Amino acid sequence: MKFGKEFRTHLEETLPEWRDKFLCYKPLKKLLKYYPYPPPSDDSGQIDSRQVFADTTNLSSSAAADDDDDDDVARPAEDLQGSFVRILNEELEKFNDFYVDKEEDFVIRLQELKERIEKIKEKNCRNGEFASESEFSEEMMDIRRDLVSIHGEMVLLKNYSSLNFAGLVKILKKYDKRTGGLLRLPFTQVVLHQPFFTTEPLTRLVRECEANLELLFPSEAEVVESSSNTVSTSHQNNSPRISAQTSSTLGDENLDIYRSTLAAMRAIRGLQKASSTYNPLSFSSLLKNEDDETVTAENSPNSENLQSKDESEKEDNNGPSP
Amino acid sequence: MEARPVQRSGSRELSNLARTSSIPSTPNPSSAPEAAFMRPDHKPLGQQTYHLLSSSNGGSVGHICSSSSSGFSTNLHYSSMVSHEKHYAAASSNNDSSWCNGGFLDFPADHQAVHNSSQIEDGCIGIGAAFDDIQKPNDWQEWADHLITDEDPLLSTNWNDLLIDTSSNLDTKDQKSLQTIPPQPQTVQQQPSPSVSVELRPVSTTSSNSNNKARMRWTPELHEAFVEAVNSLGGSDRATPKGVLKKMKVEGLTIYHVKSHLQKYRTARYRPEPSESGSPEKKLTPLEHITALDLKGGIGITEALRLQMEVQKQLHEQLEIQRNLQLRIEEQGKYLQMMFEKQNSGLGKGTASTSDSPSKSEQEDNKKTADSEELAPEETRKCQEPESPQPKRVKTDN
Repeated sequence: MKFGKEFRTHLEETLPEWRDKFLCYKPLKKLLKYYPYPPPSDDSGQIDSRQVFADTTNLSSSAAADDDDDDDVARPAEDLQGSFVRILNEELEKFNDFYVDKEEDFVIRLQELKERIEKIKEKNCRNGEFASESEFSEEMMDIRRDLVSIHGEMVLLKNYSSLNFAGLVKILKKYDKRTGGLLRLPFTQVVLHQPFFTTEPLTRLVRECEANLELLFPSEAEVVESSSNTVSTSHQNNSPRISAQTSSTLGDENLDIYRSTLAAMRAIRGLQKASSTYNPLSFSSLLKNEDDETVTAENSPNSENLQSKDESEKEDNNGPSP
Repeated sequence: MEARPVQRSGSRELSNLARTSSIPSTPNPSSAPEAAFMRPDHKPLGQQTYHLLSSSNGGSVGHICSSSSSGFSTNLHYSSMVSHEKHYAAASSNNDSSWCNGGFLDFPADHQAVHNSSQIEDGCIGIGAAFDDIQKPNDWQEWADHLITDEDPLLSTNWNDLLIDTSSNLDTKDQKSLQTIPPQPQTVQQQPSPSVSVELRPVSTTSSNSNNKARMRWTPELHEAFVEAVNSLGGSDRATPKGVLKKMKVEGLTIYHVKSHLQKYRTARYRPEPSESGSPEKKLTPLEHITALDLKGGIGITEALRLQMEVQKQLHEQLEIQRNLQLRIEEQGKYLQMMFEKQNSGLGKGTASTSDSPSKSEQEDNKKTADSEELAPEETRKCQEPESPQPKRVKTDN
């Protein structure tokens, strides 16, 4: 549930045109919720093939018409599995299409930016004194803005990939848990090799972008150190103020990206926090040391289950644990 | 439904970056649940195929990564093969491939669960299936036969010993189909990832059914080749897709790919040019802020960009961490599976070591949640090795 909330929140705050490209987590959860019976078919249309629901409804209703056998339970079960896998396959296709498409865009755009940089370098070198300083700085600023923009989008695409992957794993876990099936591991193996999750080319592009920015605007490095404090506080507290005043400077595009980036950060942080179930392999336990504020299993209200009886008695004697 | 052989071949192409093994794609009648499971049927096998045009060494222009569907069934082959690749490299044990088989160990003696899983597994690998009535055995036999004829038959015989013998007749067939999968990674392993040549393997088997809607994965190198071709033809406006295609001389690249890419290219180029000359309003405000740089009243553009960049970099870092964790977790999951398999085979042979059996029961209990803390550190150590092929795998994906 925690993931679902984070996921949904992120969806609301991310780039609008990306919203429907994410995993249809909620509908899938719903599908599982009603297992072994199909959910009441809704017109939400969030799942691409609505007929999937229709299929399960039809099949199970016909199955229900039969006598009560094990087969009856089996039929909806296998229908669910069939439709579940089908939906997931469609989702994968959706992810892949979107991701590869975006990746292609980035490749093209980055190449263009590099060409522009080359052009302006050439121009600069040819004339000793540049024709118009303002033109030069304008162009540089444009390039910089575009670089930052494309960098932002690329990182958001990575976030897209990561979030969808996490969502898939989660929903598969839920599926296994609910149906006793064994879908998670094999399907996850499939997902790991999907184009949308093999983000190495994208990472390379991101690094290239960062490198270019460093080269062109080296002052960024030193200023970053001094303003790191302001940065950390500002984007936590002052984002509204910043966005209002920088809307004209950053441009609407960048503003969207900026907001989505912050949303993504929040989503990730949210995911990293401990859940109510303790898992040594979860992000929280692996990152436990880094964040003291994390509600860990030990100090959560549910921790009594995990603690020994003696400890809990001690705690009861000493009052509520902090 | 003709899905299965196509998938199989598609999956092979996935793992097999440099060679084509054209598998006769014979139509295969399949039962309803299988069909439901195997393919998104709504598309007539015009599944998206993905061509990756880059090689592991990064220098060349292409390698292909195609799947007849991005779907689960196909890629299960691929993934199982790739996982086998890794384990083959790491553990050199044929048992790896039957990792799916080990899955049924974690069922708490619940036949229902076994049935459910079998419906999944039967799609590609197959565990003891209890639903004889639902599954059509003849399909499996056909499919298994296809696989067997293509693969090394010697290896298939080993699996009979290793796999646990379940009572159903179907199981042996399923096992056979499982058996034939492991040979593939061996051959894949022996053939290195694609060479520097620009040659691509077209998707032979799927093209018969596909709408040629194969998606190309454009890498910077490929794009560079594209730009060169376009420039040599007189620029983005004058170049035609056909001309560019001819110039690029990249096998597997269709005119469809070039057309769409050219369109994108033109759009990308067109936009910056007007903005350079036009929209003065937009230019003025940044200039004002540059000169003003009043931090109190507002944030200058450089500051804003810097801030934005900083946030983005942070996010990127976090994402990298998250991704590594995700991969690691899945790796451990797979490793557990492998362990189960080994246990399984050990039990089947009756040679299970005593030290393994206590941990095995723990593994069974905790498999799903992976809560076994005692195993976790052990796994992390042991997983160092399985992880090391991972960079290799990662590179070959590109």
